Amino acid sequence: MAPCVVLAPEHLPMDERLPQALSDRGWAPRIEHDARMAMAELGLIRRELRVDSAWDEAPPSWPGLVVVNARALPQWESLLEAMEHHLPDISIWGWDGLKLVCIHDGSPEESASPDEPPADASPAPSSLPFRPEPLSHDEVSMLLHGRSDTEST
Amino acid sequence: MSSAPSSRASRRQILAVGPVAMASGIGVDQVGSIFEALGIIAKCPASRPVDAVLLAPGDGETLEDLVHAAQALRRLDATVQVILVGSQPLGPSIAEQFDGLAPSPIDEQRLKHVLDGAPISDAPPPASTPVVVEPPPAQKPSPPPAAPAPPTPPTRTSPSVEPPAAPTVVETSPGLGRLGDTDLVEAMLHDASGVLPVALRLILQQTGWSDCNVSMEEDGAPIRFGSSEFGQLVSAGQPASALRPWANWLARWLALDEAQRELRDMAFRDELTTAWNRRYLASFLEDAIEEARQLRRQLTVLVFDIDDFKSYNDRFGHAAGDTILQYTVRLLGSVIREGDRVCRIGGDEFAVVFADLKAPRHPGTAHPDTVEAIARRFQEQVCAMRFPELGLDAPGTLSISGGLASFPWDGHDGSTLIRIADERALESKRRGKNCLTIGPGARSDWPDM
Repeated sequence: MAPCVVLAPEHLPMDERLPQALSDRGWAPRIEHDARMAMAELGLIRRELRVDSAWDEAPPSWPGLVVVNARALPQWESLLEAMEHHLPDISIWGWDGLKLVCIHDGSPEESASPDEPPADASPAPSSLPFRPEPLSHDEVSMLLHGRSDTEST
Repeated sequence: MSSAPSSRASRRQILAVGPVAMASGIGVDQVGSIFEALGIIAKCPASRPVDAVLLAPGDGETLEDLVHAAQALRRLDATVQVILVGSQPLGPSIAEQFDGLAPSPIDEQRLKHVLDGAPISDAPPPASTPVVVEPPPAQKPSPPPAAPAPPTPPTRTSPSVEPPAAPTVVETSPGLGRLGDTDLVEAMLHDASGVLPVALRLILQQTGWSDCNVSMEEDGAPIRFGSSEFGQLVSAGQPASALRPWANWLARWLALDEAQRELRDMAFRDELTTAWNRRYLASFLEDAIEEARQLRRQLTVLVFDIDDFKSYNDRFGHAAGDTILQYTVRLLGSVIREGDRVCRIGGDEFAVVFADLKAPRHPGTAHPDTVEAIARRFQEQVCAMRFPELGLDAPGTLSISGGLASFPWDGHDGSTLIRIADERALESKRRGKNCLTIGPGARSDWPDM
């Protein structure tokens, strides 16, 4: 299951139907009560998934942000604006009490598709660029004994 | 108050959130909200991380809001320095939530001071908008306590220097950037460069001198404690009489620092080879992995042993075996980089932590830049080792078998990396010895994000 962040007011009880709705989407929720913490958590999750996907360990689904009672959040507009601008590949959903409602459709192809590893995640080269520096026995002897073979003989 | 690793000091991507008044010419990017800052940090490439965030309270924002903002920034990137800008009075519990406090408006010099601890030439801060930190309830308001004399190391005789008279050192004030005894102890315990840099900065803060240093050549005030000599304390334009009390004070801290290092070496070093021991490996590896995780850098562990080491012991005696182990560590020490660590974890079994993956051994030199290349170079040099005093003249008489495991590809904790590297070392043995078995991580860079 992919992680998702549920941003919910601390003073309100969690709707009992929400966990099931999240489970149906293949999401494992991480509950946050502060919008800033929620965005930080999403940034971390996204970073982990990008690293994993770079190594062909694609997650089963991309994470999302689920906001409960969004209009009551004092920083909702700022959060939404920043999410759409900086983390557009993360979808944002609202919970209307019955079902999840899409607020922002994440578009992974714009920046971070789990199915397409980042361009810089090239496979390991088959032949290594390693070319050992030539090292004479004298040099090794100098290194180990503080004198060259020539001096010691 | 935390401080960022010194390796970050050269980077400078700084964000400002809220109404931060800045002098012109400061390279700070103003962003619209804390969410903007979080978004930028989440997306910034590993090669150019955000170094610091300046926070100033906006309309209707409380200090509690800013504390939450700082916590969110740290959760996303624990290495970001979070600086509070403003003139509001703070209690110590609030101040310690930030890496530093700065008055507004902030200029480049003050910014460097807050971020790096760089001294300020015009010592008094602007009187118009000072940052006020209320003293903690238990703290006596005045005067600041005299610098306590560190305990005399048990192996030393009584000091021959007079007790420090003039210097007084205040306790650390979290967030103010003022240094105190806590910073000295912290540097002694955790800073690789020891207590000296912090002590010199503290002297500058306390005296207002423009400079001070420890010199082995210039004349100043001798830094001496018991039989230990640490050079001369010098400062431009300062007479010896002014330097002497601080030299005596510094000598005590340096002696304590030296004694502490000796004890640490005894606890963490292998006596025979001077390599780090298993206890140190466990501690260092966890810290290094955490740093690699935060900085998004790779880290690799090499576990190896010397092929047929027992036969050397049986043939030439244990003293010869000891010599081989010592030479192996010395050779390995010449191959690795400054941030790497060589640890002896068994009789002839070693672990090498390649934690400093980008830095060359010496600036300006071109060295193999992958861990595999370094490991193979070491392997070749082991084969070329000769021990004339043991009668092992022919090169190629010694070989190693090892395995490499890398964070984050092979594991996310130290014990997993060591276990996988060890399994790969066994695989090398099965494949006929004198070889290294390597996972994909040692060959690759962490992808930019």
